[in-house]
Amino acid sequence: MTSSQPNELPESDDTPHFELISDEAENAEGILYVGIDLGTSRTSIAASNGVRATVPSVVGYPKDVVGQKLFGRSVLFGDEAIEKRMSLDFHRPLEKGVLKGTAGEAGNDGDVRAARDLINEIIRRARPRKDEIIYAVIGAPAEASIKSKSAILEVARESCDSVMICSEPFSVAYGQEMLEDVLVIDIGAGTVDLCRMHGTMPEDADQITLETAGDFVDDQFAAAIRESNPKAQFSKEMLKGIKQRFASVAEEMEPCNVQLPVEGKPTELDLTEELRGACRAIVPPIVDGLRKLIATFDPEFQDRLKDRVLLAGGGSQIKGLDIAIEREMHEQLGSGRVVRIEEPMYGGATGALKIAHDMPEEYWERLK
Amino acid sequence: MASLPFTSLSASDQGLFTPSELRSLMEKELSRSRRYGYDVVMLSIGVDRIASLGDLYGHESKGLVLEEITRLLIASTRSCDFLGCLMGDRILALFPHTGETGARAVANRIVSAARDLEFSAGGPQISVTLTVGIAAPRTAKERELEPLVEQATQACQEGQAAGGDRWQLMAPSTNGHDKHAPSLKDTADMGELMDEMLREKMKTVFESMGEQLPDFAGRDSEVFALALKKMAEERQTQDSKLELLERRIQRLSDNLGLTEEQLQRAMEMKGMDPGVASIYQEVQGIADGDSDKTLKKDMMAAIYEANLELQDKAESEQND
Repeated sequence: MTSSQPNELPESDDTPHFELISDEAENAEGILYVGIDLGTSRTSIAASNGVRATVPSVVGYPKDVVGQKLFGRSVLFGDEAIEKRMSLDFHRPLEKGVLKGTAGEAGNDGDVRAARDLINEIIRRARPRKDEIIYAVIGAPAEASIKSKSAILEVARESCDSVMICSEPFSVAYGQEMLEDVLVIDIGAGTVDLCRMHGTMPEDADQITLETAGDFVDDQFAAAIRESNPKAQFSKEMLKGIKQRFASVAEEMEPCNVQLPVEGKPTELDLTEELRGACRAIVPPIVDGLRKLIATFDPEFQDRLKDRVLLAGGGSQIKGLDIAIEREMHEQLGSGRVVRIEEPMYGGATGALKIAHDMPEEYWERLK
Repeated sequence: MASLPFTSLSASDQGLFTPSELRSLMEKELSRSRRYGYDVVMLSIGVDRIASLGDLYGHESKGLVLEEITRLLIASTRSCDFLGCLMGDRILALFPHTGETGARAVANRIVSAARDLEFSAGGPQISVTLTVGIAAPRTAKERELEPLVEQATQACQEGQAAGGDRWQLMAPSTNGHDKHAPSLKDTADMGELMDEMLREKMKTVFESMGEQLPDFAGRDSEVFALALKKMAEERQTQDSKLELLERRIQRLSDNLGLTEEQLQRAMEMKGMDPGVASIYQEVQGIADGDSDKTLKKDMMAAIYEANLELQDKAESEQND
């Protein structure tokens, strides 16, 4: 699952949101199970010792020795890397849920190295004991190619003793214990994954990946601002910040009054309509995807499926999105009920952790 | 207790577990231990010189001895242990949630208790001794029925070949029998060794205080004897406490079993939902009919297969 995190509270740094340390930290088995949601925008981890952490999926390397001395480190992650990106060789190693530089994606060796360092870092934040064996389940986009899954496996193997990849929306459903007659919408930054669960492992026909996700909202938002305020200056990071604070599809939304430089002068602009329009743009493709999955399902159970739609991922935090999708479903499909999961930020990671826990030991051993 | 009481150690058709039933029960338990990662040990228990016992005192005496030994084993084990016979005159026992240390303690208890048994089949008094072979797997992979039976049986045979009246441990991961348990017959030698170690230890303690070991004027052996006696008394107290605790656990376990049976009966009479009765089965990991559990198991297998395929493809691409 990827996550663009609209409406997320601003963070001062990229330290974990919260961590729960349980007695299991001293587990006698010496195995640490982890579930990882390797997202285009954020990477989250949930571990069997109770630790949960999330970090923006960005990695920065000081451009020269001076920078290295200044930062005191050879690599920076997350918000710290974003903040100091001007002095860094800056990488976003994931794009549309897959590693750049692999599977025919544009990128370079630096992106692969950055992905490796990012996975290392997120596992380090799960605080494994030095003697602990690490078994990880990593969520990948529903329709990720074999090549991109292999690439994720390869970079993760350096930090983990045994790794498995599984479909991200499936891990969300598994984490919610909803395995039968459920539709999952997992909205990330790079992709929106739709998955139909019907009591067996979802197959290719049960899953759809759309690219109208968080980054798409950013692009739409940028285009709308350029049209209404041609002289306004902004960067992608600035727009992400605005989106996280104000994103909504509701009729009555908090006015999005922000200051942007116009020809060098900070100017207050009302971007409410632009933002609402950009956020609403993702609703029709999602409902169209749902329609395809519902229409090809057993007609006897189609109504049940429509009434059990799970909304997850960072993008699900757009205010009023569940109601907007429901409304669109009523118009296009006659009915629909959408439930936003609790803690959308960790839905994929906790589901992957549950899978890791339930996976028999012998399977882990054989994949080592 | 999942046990196989018998008058003869051959398969019985008198309502007792058949070897195939026993095999099935043990396989299920081993499968659970692999799944949930708990320890199990397998014991092979043999009556020393059992063949000549029949020749000397008649077939009836052999049956009597085996019957008594069975009673002893049932009394010395827990209700959750599996006890029975797959073939021959050796009894097999599978102990769930028991590690190597626990196995040694049980084996010690069984071997010691057998020494106190006396039989009389209308003729002379007969005493028997037992040998216990232990297989203590250390990893999930090693918890397979056939290898464990083989290792425990081999350990038992070796113990009997060395004179019997002992327990012998075979740790599979050592790939052999280099982890022999000391024979109980070596207890006297061990005692002397302990005396020597104790003497050395006391010397070290006194030296660390900058003093010489006091001259007990030839009475050091009395001092050591006294110290050993005190230690033996302390150990006896601890053993009594341990025994009491084990009895209480046994009682609780029996009561839990009875409660579960009563609930099961009530449920059947009233056509009720399993409700509370199912909790016991859940705790024991023997619940069935949980469709989600089966579904999840199948899903885990599917994820594993997909990843295995992915791994193979990636490897073949790398090789190309």
